[in-house]
Amino acid sequence: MNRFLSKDFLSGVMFIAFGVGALYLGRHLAVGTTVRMGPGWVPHALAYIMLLLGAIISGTALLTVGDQAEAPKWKPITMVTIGLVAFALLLETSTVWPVTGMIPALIALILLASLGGDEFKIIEVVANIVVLTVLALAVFWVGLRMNIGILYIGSTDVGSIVLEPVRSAIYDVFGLIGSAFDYVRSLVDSLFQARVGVR
Amino acid sequence: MDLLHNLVLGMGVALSLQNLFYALVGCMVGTLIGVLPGIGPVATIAMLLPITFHLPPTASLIMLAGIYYGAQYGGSTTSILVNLPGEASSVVTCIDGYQMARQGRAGAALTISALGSFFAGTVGTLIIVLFAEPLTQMAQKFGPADYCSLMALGLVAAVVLANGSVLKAIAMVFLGLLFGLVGTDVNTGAQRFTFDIPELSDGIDFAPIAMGLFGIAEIVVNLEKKMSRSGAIKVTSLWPTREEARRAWPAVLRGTALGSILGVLPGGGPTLGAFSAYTLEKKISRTPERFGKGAVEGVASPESANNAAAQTSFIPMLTLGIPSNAVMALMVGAMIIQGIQPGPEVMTKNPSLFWGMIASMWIGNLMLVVINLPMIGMWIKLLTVPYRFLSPAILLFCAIGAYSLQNSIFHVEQVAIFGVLGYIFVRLGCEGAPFLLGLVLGPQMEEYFRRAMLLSRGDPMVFLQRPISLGLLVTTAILLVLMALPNLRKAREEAFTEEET
Repeated sequence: MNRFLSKDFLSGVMFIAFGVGALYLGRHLAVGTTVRMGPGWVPHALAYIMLLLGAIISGTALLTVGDQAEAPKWKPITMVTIGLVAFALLLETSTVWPVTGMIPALIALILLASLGGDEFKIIEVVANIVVLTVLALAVFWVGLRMNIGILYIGSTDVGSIVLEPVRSAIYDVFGLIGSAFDYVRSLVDSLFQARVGVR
Repeated sequence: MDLLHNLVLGMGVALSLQNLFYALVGCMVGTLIGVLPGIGPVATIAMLLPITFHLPPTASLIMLAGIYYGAQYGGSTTSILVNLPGEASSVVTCIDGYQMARQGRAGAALTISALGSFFAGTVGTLIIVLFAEPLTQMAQKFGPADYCSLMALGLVAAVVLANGSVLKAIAMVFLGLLFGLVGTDVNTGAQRFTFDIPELSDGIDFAPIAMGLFGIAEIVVNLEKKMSRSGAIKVTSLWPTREEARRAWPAVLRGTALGSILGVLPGGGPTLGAFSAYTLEKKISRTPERFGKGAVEGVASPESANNAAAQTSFIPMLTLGIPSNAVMALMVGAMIIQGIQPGPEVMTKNPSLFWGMIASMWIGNLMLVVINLPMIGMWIKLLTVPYRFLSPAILLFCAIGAYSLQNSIFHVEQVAIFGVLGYIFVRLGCEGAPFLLGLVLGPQMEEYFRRAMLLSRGDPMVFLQRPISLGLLVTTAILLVLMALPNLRKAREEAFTEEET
């Protein structure tokens, strides 16, 4: 049983580290007086509180027997983080790599994240990629009308050019449904107002 | 009849096609994640925060609220049929709900919990309507010192009721306050902790932090566990017998009352409501030995309580701008993303948003009964989807959502960084919820604090001289002292170990 590896001791150390970091990074901020507080007054106060609490937490952890911190499993957290970074790098056009945009970025993310789990079947991952590509396009690109590059080859967004007619057709259909609903609602509203005389 | 006028206004807003659609989306998503063990409303709302940036304010808040109370409905389904809590607030429902299911009464248990939840949701919504106006008027009398003390009370109370070590939770609050400082100082324009990154000069965006701390960290922790899924019990008839109904309805009333009260408390909410309701039922029952063997009351009361608490926990957030739990902190974040400063002004400045959201809660509850009872078969099928299909989907939504905030990949990288930090928090047993509350309240609290000190010419006694502020600080101190008492600490620890098993 190593008390230096207990959850509480390590969290105390983490809080102290944040306190020291805040003091170091905020060293140029003027503290000011209690009447006219400078931008550094509250940061300094919080940093000292962090140091104090961290010391108490670590100190008591050394005196008592607490939960041991489990050794982290590196694979999931590493693969997920790498996946997110890869997504960020592949999303916008770059000079290094010609094929970018949402589709290549999401393929990289899903592939890497799936490698982080304990079961990896290539057929399932491919199916997942196909389903999620359609879903992401439907929610973000069609539904929320987001401006996002779909599939750049070089600096032209081939994906948007191909799919744009599909998107406008979908908007037309929804526009029709909306105006039908508005018509029905205005009928109901006028009936309601005639009967009850609200407003 | 101001109240009636407000309700008519709210219904008008809530019944527009767009808002009905987003209420339905929210309820569907809420039920979905409620049914699926391993994803909670906090992670889901965090994940969907950036999406709300692209929606009108009312629609986005209606959707997020729907997810929160929808999860309370969905969670009971998994508890009853699979004996796995779909949601933390449905843990106690497993005890008697699953026993009822094994005795062939699954349908009755589901119906009672859905109808009990609907009743509780209706009452909860009515309570919001009744209390919103008086509380808002009271809040408008608050000065800067009072606000600062109110926030201190909110933060401390949230910590007292949080899981695990109090000291660590307090430290997490302060860490959240520290992260809230990042950006340009409002009073002097000085750059604080920005590392000369232009994106940080407006402060760290709330959404990437929430997504990283809750969404990503939760995925990683779930990926580490091997998730086994057992088969669900078949549902036959949905109707409870006369005897079951007779036992259930007083329990529903008691659960609703208790849940409504506990929901308003800072740090309270559905989980606390459900646990207390179950304990209460067991205590007042003339036949406590039936509990654990399929007692209807053990399903009806906690399920009503968690839904009532989910509704009433909106009260402090809507009227005072003080979030009482992590979900409400996210709702505050969603409002800030929309450019609305939560607080007593919301009701007077945005009456259609305020009353529209409240009216939609009742409509949402009605939708949920329909979503949950006749469509139960669909949700049971979803339980068989393995987690390895879900985690990439959640990740992808976080990644695209973060990017969409400002079309900047910096936000995606922030999600990755806070994902790692969130994972460290989980490994070290530090709660993310107090951090989030500190983060949301930090900038406001600093402003009120500095304004109060300026007004009092640097005399900290101002916090004790104003009666409202004094009262709030005394309550805070009492809470802290109570925490230090050995008896209470033991009782609290017992309550939480029960929760974890």
